[in-house]
Amino acid sequence: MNRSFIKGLGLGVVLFLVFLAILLFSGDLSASKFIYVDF
Amino acid sequence: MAFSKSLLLGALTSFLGLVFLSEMILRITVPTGFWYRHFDLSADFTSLPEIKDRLRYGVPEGPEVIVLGDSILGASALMEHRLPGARTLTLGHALNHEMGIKGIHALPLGADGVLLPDLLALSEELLPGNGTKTLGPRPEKILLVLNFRMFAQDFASGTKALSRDFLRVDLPASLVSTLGTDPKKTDENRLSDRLYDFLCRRCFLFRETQMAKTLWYYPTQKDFFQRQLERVMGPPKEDEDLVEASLKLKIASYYQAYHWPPDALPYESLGLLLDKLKQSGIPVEVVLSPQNSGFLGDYLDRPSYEYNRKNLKLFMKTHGFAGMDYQDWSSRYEPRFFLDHCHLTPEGNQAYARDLSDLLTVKGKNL
Repeated sequence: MNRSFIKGLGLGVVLFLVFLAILLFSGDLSASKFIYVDF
Repeated sequence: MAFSKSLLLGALTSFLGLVFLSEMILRITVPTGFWYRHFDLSADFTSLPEIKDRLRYGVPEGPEVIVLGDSILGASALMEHRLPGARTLTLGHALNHEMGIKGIHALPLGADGVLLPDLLALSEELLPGNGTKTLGPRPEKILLVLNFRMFAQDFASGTKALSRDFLRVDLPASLVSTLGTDPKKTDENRLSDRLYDFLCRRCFLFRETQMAKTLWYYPTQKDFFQRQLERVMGPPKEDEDLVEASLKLKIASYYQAYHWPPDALPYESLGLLLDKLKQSGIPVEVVLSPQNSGFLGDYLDRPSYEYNRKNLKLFMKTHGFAGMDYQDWSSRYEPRFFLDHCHLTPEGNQAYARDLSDLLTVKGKNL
């Protein structure tokens, strides 16, 4: 296994963490998940 | 860094490998109830598959009591009042504690803004088809917590009568046509809704991350950022009277001179909901949640308030069945137990939970 493949594995881990952060902290994808919410 | 073929291959391998691994871990751990045991994910309804998961796996031992309600069960109002540890001070939490002492597991299914068509749809999820079998373990009792706002004129017709659009699929066609469609919804909105539903249905990683978001983005994303800002800048110098007045204006319509029409969506949904529960054969306790009439002052139209209470009691009597009990607790607690018009203080929630627990159990022990 060459060095650049191993570097690539590390890059993949970073990309996964970024992907996870987007899933956990992005705004809602659904435009109308809640039509009306009040307390 | 030079982007050689092997570097890209390595990145793709580990990225897809980790996505696959996390998906597999979630597919194994969600059915064990692991996430529900360790995190309070009860703050909101993010998708239909989430509701199904909660009914199936929310209480691994099987919930003896399922509680249906709105924000009264949750932490929104407590958080709005900046009470630390709000999630542990909720009615849902207190009820779980009270019932837990008696060895009974309760599953609170409540979220902000829930209305009667939402509760009807939830009952369809809980009791699919003809309603004789349940999705997930069969509870021994269902507690239905009604709130005054559920019958308000604002929510009596049109799209505002349903708070979660994804629950529309569980409603009868006649009700869906009465609800109508939101004219403001664009093709892009519809596409993003479909994409969101598809991802929630098919991908555990997506579904669970959307649920996890409610741990911090609660009640809304804006509130999260406001809290962070307050940590740095300190609490805002808001005039408490002004905040209270703005809330009163917002909720005034719930208590105005208005007789809840028997043919409007709230009563229609409640009737269908009770029919559904009757078919299931599961005993049902229905409670009209306590209201703080002292908070409302002149905004409360007392004659309508009393008329609607009386009529609801009559409606429950007409739609009653063996195993169903209705309690009007709207004037049960003093104003000091409330944060606002209907949400209770931590002490109020404890008292309410104790009373509900006694109501649900026979001689304080068995259901």
